[in-house]
Amino acid sequence: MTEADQERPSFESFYGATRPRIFRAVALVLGDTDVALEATEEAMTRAAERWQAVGRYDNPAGWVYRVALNWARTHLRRLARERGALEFEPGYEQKLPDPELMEAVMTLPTGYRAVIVARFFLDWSVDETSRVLQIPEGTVKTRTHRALKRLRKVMGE
Amino acid sequence: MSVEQKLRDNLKAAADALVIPQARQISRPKPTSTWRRGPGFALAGAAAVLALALPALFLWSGGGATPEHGVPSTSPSVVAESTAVPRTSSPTTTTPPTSTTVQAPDTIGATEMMDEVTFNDHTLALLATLVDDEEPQTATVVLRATPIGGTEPPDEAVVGVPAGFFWHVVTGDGALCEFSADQTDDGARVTVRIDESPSLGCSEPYHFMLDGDELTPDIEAPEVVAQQFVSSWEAGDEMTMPDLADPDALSQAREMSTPAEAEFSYCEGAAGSVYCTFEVIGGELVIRVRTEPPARVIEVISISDD
Repeated sequence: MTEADQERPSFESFYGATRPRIFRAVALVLGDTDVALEATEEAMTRAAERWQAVGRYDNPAGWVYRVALNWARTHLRRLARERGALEFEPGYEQKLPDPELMEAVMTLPTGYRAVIVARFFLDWSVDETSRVLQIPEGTVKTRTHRALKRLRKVMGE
Repeated sequence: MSVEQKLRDNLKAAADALVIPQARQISRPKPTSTWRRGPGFALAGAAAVLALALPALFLWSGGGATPEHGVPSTSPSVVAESTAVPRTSSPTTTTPPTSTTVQAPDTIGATEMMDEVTFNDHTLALLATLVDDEEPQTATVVLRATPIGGTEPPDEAVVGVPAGFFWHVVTGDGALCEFSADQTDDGARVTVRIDESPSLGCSEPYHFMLDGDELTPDIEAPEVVAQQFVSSWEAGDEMTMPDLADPDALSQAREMSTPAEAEFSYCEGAAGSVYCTFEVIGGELVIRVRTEPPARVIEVISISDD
């Protein structure tokens, strides 16, 4: 084992630590538990196959997030299927500080939601979000601005 | 409290309340395929060519044929079909996939022939071209009909939508679930089904009509027509768009800027047509499709957010 291999976390530990968070993020973007699961597992499988390279990236979780979203996009387009739904624990509405806001988030276009979830759930910076989603920083800022504008409107601000 | 903070709190609360299904181990076994004879099958060129082309993948189930590469079939109805066993996912515990070695990336534009058959006086080939080398690498699959012994150029039609398949799947073993052709009164009807992914298995059938030397998609579902049209438009696929839309709708589309990151939302029915909505950056795109066969795009409407 090389020194670099010793420094890099094993795929197994990455998977255990990252999968729930990435699955949640992907599910919030897609609004479909089943597709989010397929997409996350597919992306994780590809990460495993390329772990020697992916494990060295600054943000391997970002790579998995992007691959999962790309996979889901291709998959949904091809199947022309209707979106499914998110599966929540019973009584989750009571746990939400503002259910109306969450409803409005789910009406945003998927590309916008991918940015919003990256910025406000995964807590990635504009720069990180830009690199992960492979879109210009200006697009990240524009989508964030437009999405927040729409959400403020919903909230009557 | 700012909307940003409210957003953070809501996303976190919603994420925490999400039910996380048990992980499914995605296996990638090699499907097994067989060729079978269809009704009225004459053991001539078509199946023999296929048996020659992919000897390692298929078990020859006919008999008495002498393989003659490129010899056209004289049969009025030839069915050359492979039946792949869909790859399945089985529920397991949360075992992560095993790490393996890094693979060298393929180059955009790389093309692989998935299969080739001879039907009447045409060679029908399925070609996969790598169009996106970002993960997940995607491929456009094209059906090409080449007249045998003539001087006419081949005609092509995209299977599904451009960039609609995964490169590593369509170039892997057992990628083709079905590739068959039947003679009808209107010409040859070609059916293609392709493995979609290790977990999804085979696609729904894609149909094409080969009338003379002209190959056109034979699509009945309006929502599929709308999606294929938008995908072709995004990809700048001028070859496919006229097959999917009336001239007026085509003119409307050409007057608009090409949609970016269009995502299908839903279709709503109306008398004789359906309206299919796509989310695009800065607004929505509405595609009206005639439901009477042949289903075609008859109107393109752009709605801006501003």
